[in-house]
Amino acid sequence: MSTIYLRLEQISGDSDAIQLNRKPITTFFLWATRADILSGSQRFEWQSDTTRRRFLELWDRIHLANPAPAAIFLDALLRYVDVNHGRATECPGLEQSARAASFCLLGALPSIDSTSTAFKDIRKRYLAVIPRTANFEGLHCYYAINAIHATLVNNRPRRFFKWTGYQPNPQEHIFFAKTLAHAVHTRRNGKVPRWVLRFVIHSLSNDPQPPVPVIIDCLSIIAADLGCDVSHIGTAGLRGR
Amino acid sequence: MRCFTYRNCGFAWEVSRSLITADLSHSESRVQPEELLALISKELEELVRAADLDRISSKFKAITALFPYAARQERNGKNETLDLFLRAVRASKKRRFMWKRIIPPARTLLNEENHVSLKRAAILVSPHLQWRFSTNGNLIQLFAAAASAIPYTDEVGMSVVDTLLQIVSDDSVRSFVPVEMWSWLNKRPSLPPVCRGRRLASHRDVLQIVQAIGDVETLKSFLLLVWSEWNEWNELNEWNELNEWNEPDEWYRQSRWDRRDQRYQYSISNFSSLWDFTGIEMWRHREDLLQRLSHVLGRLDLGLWHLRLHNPDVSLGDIQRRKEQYGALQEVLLKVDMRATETLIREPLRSTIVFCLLIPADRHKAPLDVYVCNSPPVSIVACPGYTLCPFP
Repeated sequence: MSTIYLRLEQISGDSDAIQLNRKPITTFFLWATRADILSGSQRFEWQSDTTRRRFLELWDRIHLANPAPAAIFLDALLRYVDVNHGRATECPGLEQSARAASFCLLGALPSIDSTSTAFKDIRKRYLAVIPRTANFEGLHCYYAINAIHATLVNNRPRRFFKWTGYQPNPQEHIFFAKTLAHAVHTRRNGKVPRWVLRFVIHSLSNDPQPPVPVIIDCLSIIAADLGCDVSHIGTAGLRGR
Repeated sequence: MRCFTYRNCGFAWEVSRSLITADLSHSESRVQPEELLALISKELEELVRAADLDRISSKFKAITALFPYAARQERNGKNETLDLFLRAVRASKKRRFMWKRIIPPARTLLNEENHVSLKRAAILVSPHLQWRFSTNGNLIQLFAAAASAIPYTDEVGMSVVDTLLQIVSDDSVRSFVPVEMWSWLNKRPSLPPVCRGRRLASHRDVLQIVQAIGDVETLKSFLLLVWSEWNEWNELNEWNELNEWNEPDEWYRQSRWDRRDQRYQYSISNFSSLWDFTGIEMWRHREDLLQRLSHVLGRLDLGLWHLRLHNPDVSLGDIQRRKEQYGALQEVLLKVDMRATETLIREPLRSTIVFCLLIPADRHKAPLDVYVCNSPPVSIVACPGYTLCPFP
């Protein structure tokens, strides 16, 4: 492992080296991710925080449009969530893991081209376990899994989930808004989905006022739906918040 | 529900986070809400300027989603966003423009105890809400309370009256309107050319409801508001008409335009039974109503070009129909006025004292020909060549 870390340190500042080593870096990353999310209480041990951060920076530069993380997160989610007679339940004791997996999957999905085979494969695997008419009420990951469901299932029943009771803590709110904004800005066709706009209305109506990053993301979603060109600012500045 | 904690996410969480922000890694700038708002404002300005109704209508959900933020800005003393929002909404000229999902936030704003500005924002957008979805009446009660709690301006009066007329024209929610709300009609704000409330309220059912209140002043205010060059009298329920004067098969055989023409003819022929301004003591109200009708007919005489400056949707057929309707209505009122005069002249004088105030006819203000006061019974009749004017 130390050899790998050393090599990662060496190539982190060299773009050409990163491109040349795309495949091994990706493989290592996926292995680390899988170990991390599927292992439950056991965490993947990094040599140091610096190495971990450096690795994430590397990943930022090579991972684009890689569906593999989403597939891993989907595996985790399907492991933690069960559906019986149309009603979804979480495996006892693993509620927080299911929630983490659903958040990670929601974050990973927008980076995949929705017309790609990989995306279709993810959708197929998802629908094999979770039916179109699944009811997610009562789950800890209710909002995240509904958002995933809305993203993956095209012809889902016209039964919209409600944001009425959605009172997340600021960090979760920021993540959710950021994820949805990213999904909107990377969409290839069509308008902004209604459930995303309902999220915007709910978030902007919150009292007390939501965090500034949430307001920015919500406004960027509105701007995108109005047809504004947000490519030059997009959700810039989100990074590092 | 337990709070989400990131301890359980670990590296996977960071991966997810990095996935989201990856495409932005080239940018270090931090965008501010004001920059995005400027972009949105620019786009909305263009939409309003282009007056592209289809495009505005297709964006109604996004425009609606901006409202909570505009209201929040209003609370902070920045009213530009709300003004722009209202201009975009009004430019749509669409019925029920705002998305029904905005009703819960609007309810919250109407219920704000400490922020008059938020109530004002909710009142100003109220004509564009879908009131049919306020099924328990709570929203209407809040609306009534909020309307009376904010300072009166023409804009506020216009919004409240427009909304009130919309609510009372919908039989599923009109029962929730508090009686005191009707007094808003007496403020008689000037309604805009495209006014959904006025158009929906121009029918027999609403008139009957206003008549049932039993206040002549309110009834007159209602008629002065709904009689306009911008809309005509409509029958609310086509099916009622169908039962009254046509066979179903025949009805379906007719073209839409034939049906429409017949509907208006039907309306005109029934005008006389719709109004109750026949009493001699109603002369003052008849005068106001006749003045209003003269004004409306005068505006219609200005022609299509003039009306289209304010509402491009007006057609020549609309003008023709409205002229017929309001002309017929004027005739009805004049006949009523004439009958009242005849009744008075034929009636033996019951007066104990007769006052005659004679002035030259060139100072006469129509249609004051006869003035009668019932208590005490006093009649005043003009001599030939002279006319009457009201007492100072």
